[in-house]
Amino acid sequence: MSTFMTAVSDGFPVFGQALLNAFILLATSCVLSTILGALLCVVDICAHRSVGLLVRIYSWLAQTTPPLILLFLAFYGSTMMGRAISPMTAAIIAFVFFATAYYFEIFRASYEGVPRGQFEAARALGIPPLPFATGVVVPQVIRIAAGPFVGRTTVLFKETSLASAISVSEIMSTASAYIYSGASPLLMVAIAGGIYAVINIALIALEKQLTRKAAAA
Amino acid sequence: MDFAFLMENLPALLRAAWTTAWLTLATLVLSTLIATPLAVSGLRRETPLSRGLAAASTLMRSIPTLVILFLVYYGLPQIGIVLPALATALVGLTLSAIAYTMEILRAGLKSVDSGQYEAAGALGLPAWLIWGRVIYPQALRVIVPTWLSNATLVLKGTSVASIITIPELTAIANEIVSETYRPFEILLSTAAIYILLGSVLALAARVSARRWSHP
Amino acid sequence: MSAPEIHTRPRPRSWPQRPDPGIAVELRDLHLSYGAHDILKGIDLAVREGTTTALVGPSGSGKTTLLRCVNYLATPVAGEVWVDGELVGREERGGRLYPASERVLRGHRRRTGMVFQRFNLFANLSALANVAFAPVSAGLCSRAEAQERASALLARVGLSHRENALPSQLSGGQQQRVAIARALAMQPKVMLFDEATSALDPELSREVLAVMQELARAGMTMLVVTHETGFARTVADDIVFMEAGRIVSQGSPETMFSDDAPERVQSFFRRRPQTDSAS
Repeated sequence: MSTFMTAVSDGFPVFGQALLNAFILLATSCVLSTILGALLCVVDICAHRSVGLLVRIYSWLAQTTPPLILLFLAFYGSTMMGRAISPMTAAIIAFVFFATAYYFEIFRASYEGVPRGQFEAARALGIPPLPFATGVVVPQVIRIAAGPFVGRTTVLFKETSLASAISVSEIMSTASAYIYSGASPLLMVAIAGGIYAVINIALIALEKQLTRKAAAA
Repeated sequence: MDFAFLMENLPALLRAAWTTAWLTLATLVLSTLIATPLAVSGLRRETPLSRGLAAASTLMRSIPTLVILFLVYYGLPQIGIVLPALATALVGLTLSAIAYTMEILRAGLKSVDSGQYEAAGALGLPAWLIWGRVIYPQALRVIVPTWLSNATLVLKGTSVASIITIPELTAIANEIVSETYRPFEILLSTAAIYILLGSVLALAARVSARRWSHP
Repeated sequence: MSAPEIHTRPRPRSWPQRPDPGIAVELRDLHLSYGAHDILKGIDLAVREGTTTALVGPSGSGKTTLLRCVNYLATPVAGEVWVDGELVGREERGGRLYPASERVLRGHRRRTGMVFQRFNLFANLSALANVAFAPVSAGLCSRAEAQERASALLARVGLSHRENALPSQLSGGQQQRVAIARALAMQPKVMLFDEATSALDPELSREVLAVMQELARAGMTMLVVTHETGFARTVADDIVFMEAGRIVSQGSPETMFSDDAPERVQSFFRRRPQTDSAS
């Protein structure tokens, strides 16, 4: 146990940097994907059916292709474009590509979850679309989507571990680096796992609470 | 796209796709077999066992598949179990899938009207018979579609095994890329193969959703 | 909002004629069909200002669809709908009538208030905000003014003490009363009630019916689709009996509930035990 503690305290600054990198990857791709996913959702709701079909095809492709393949594509893409992009940027591009689909699906399903009768009531009252959307629909979509959104974000956080495959120095690649330099593999992997677990368990608890709150309304 | 080049490498990719398909199927079967009895625990009332399982499920869902794979990869030999690489991957992938499968089964079981338990219990049926012949068959309507959509995630997840050098689709694709340095042809066709495999599962999900939603 | 100025310019002979003064709602030869199904097969109906008309009839007879045509939530395939002297669902451009744009239609719809079977309150807004929302978002008045009016309307339906409650915290009867206040907030000329009590148990129905009765007494023009025979009998000025997309019979409660009423109407009311009305 004491060797474990020293390893943790020795490893902390480095894992701290790794955690920061993982967080940058997660936060950047989460924010960008949320914006893009919400935009796609609006497009899907408002635009012509054929556009909606395109959105769905994209979403299906982005969700079915393994993240690793997308990471490699972004990585090789960045080196081939001549102007070399950092692995982190390549990872963000790949993450935004598939996470946008995740969030789009959540927003779309949440929109469907808003009881339809309210739309009819708004029409009968002669409420213009924009105030209705911002004052009634969006707040309810946010409430319904909150739980699944956090749930998907835990998945996204776990997937940041895959960015190690294109040498982004996040948690798993840091653990691997320690292992190569002779640290106990099991211990290093356990520390990495512990970091993910602590953060994600908190997020899962939050997800549960938000879902319960949405169900109560 | 250079078709001659693609055709040259396609057989290797397809052989690897077979490994991926096999790995996916084995993971699904194993995790479902293990999760089926576990999902039953604590449905009627909370027990220490069910609380423990719920905590374990949360823990397992909070850890990346890659970490679980590494833990198995480094951990099993330490406790004296030495498995072939593919079996190691299967153990890791199954472990990471069990918790999700359990949640899906539980959601399905919860959808069954609780009066059914009482009715079956009143008949004096043994527990395994109640679950196996009364409750589970009714829960399938809810379970099958979500189980199948989760299967797509398991399929995607097998690609992570490439990192511990299991010769499945992603690993072989990587290998070919590093030999030929023609990443786009190879990676895009690899993605296409995954999408094809995923489409089979999605098709099954759609058919089953239609079939099971009208009992 | 441009109502066709019918009497000031020369029109082709077929140009629609404005209803007589004193008629709040007039439907002329209204037809509606979904695909091959004819739901409404030529409805003619006039509702005088300040009166309550009950629409009754077996389910599937087209009552609800008829009501939804009055505010164009359902679009008739032929015929005219006039509300408060204005042709609903059409707009005039260059001396011709066209289907109204959504914008114009919103203006038309504001002349009617509708109350739904399932209340349809805005789930994220308090009772007060539900009532104040439409006038503010339509730019009819300031927020403060709308809230003041909303407060008064909630008092009118007996819910002053629940202003800050969310719909999920209200009983069905309370929700429906908020919905009535919400519709009234747009100061409609006509109120439409679509089976407003059929989702409520008798106890809660009564409080809603009492509000409706008070509205009728206060001189609101109302068109009420209802299964509440008691309400139709005691509150309505006219009863319209529909069957298979047509108005089969029409008259005052006295005639419709008398032995002189057509046999079809009598047998319909016989099969429905009379419910007590609010009084």
